Amino acid sequence: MAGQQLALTVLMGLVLVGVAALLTRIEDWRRYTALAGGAVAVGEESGYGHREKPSGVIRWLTTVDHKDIGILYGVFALISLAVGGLMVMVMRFELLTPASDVISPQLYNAFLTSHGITMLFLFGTPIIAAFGNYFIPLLIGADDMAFPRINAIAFWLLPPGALLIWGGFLIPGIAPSQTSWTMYTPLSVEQAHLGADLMLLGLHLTGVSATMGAINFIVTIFTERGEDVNWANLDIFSWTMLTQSGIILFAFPLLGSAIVMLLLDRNLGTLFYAVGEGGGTILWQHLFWFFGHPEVYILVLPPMGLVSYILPRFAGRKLFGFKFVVYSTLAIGVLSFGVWAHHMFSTGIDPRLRASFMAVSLAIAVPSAVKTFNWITTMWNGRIKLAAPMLFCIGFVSNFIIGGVTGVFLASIPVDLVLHDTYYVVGHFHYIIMGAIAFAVFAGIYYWFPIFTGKMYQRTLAKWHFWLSMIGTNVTFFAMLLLGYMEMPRRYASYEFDPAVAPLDAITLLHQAATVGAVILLIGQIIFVWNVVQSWLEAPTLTDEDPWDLKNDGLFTREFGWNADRLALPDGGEEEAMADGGEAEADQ
Amino acid sequence: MSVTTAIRGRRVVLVVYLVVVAIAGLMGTILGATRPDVVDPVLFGVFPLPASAFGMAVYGMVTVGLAVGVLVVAVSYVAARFDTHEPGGE
Repeated sequence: MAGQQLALTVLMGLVLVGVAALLTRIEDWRRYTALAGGAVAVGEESGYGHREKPSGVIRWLTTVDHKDIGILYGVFALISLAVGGLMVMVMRFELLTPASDVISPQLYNAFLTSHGITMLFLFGTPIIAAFGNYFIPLLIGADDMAFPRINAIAFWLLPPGALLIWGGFLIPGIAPSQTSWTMYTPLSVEQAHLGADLMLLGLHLTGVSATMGAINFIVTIFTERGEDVNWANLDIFSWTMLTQSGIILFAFPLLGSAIVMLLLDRNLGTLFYAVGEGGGTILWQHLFWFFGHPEVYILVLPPMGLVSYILPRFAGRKLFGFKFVVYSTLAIGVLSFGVWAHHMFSTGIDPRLRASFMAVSLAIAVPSAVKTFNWITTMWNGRIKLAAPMLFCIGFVSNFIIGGVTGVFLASIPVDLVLHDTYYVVGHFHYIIMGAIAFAVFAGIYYWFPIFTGKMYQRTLAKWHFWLSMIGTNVTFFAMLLLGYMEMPRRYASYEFDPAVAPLDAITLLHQAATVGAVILLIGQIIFVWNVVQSWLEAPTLTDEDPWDLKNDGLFTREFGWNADRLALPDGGEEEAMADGGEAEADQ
Repeated sequence: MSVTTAIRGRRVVLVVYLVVVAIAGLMGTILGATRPDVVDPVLFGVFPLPASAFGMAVYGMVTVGLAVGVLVVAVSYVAARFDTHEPGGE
């Protein structure tokens, strides 16, 4: 038996070597090399020798071009969005009736866990990295990211991470993790599923990926800026990416360490989080939320940057109070590390500690309100063009107000003790994550669609996408806020109520409303996918270098200038400038 | 290329304001209708309102309308005095 396994392993190794050898025969990928100084001898239009980008799948497997990697991040994130979205659709149908009659409670718990992890780590962080990779070098006048190869490695850690996170569903005979995304101990230590170990390993990989990406963004923005880009005129999206990367640098390594300790507790009998010994179960919550709350700002700051960047272009004005928006971004970056224990108000921690965390949690609302104030003031005197990116920006602002105001109440200890672990919390943070973050992402995709596809999306479909998303979001998460007020606890596949607490009919009706809202959301996203794919493949090539009419308002920006240069090249971008001494290669 | 016709920004802001206030009223109505036994609305902590759908709707709309209304008034004040960008120039 052991001999057979050894033989099989050797055989598989030989097959892998054979495949690698075959690939090298198909494309001479070894010539696809970085130049000294970080510039890369690839990239369609970056101006540093363009003839070496391989074609077909090999290009995507070997690329170190920031634009290609941005697209890879984007495609990966949107696939993850679809997976996480379909998981939650099954959960919503389960909640149509009080009984658990569509899927088993165990499968519900597994979907619950995977939905959270997928949306935060496989959709949220990567889609932001997609925008960052594609556009930061263009916005700051850099040739590429500072470390192109590390950039590629950071992306390629994600697919195996995703497979590990979803491993419990994909591998027959292994139960998926059912710990919820918070992985609270002792549940996560004692749950024997192998799927939980795989998920932890996958999560670790995504954390390493995010950290590598963050280092790259920081170094790029510090050292690779063009001569005419300084700290005073650095764009707002780059500022938010820089702050976000700083937060990642402090938050994700801690998560990695905490996860390793959890894995050791699970598999090697260590006692880091053991009840009554070691650090106890509360240690996990402190470590997790020291990462977990900054993670909220890791996810929301760049989308805020996108809105701050895009919204003024459709209001015909510059962003009002630019400096204050930057200061508020930096303030959020610092304060985000001082609020973690507001997730733990009901755990019995010292009341004096709770009070201090309540104060900081209320204080962090101030810079967020400053941003909201500036977005609204920018719009007030403007002439609004209600194109799809602007619709999503306005949707972002209104949903962010609702999500933000409901969050302020949760920062208050007495209110939190009543609403903790109810659907109110779920409604609140989904208003932020779906209603705000995802909306900003859609705004970014539509706004820059002419650049990364060279085409224009179908405007009517984009407006359908917006309105269905807006209505679906508000129906679903408004119903959840109401469910929370009626004391419906979160994380349950089934529900029954003492009539003295709340009428079951009303609870069921609200769950059904939330499910109807989720279906509306799903239809909107199907339209989105259709629009993006069909427009990308079939729309006529866009020749207008200023598709949003930005020049009239003096708001034409560097990335569209870059796009204009690309369009101006007669043959579509076979420029051969060798500014740093790299040699132009002959055709392969 | 003209993307779409432009409308005045303040109109958009006021519509969003009215929608947010209406949502607060809707939430009050539903909570008052489903759980009249547990709600006890007292406007600004001074003026008691009936524990009903109507009372909760008024409570929600007045509270949110005032709180967000202050923000809108502040925006209009600041925009009138300090927002100096002229379209067509940097």
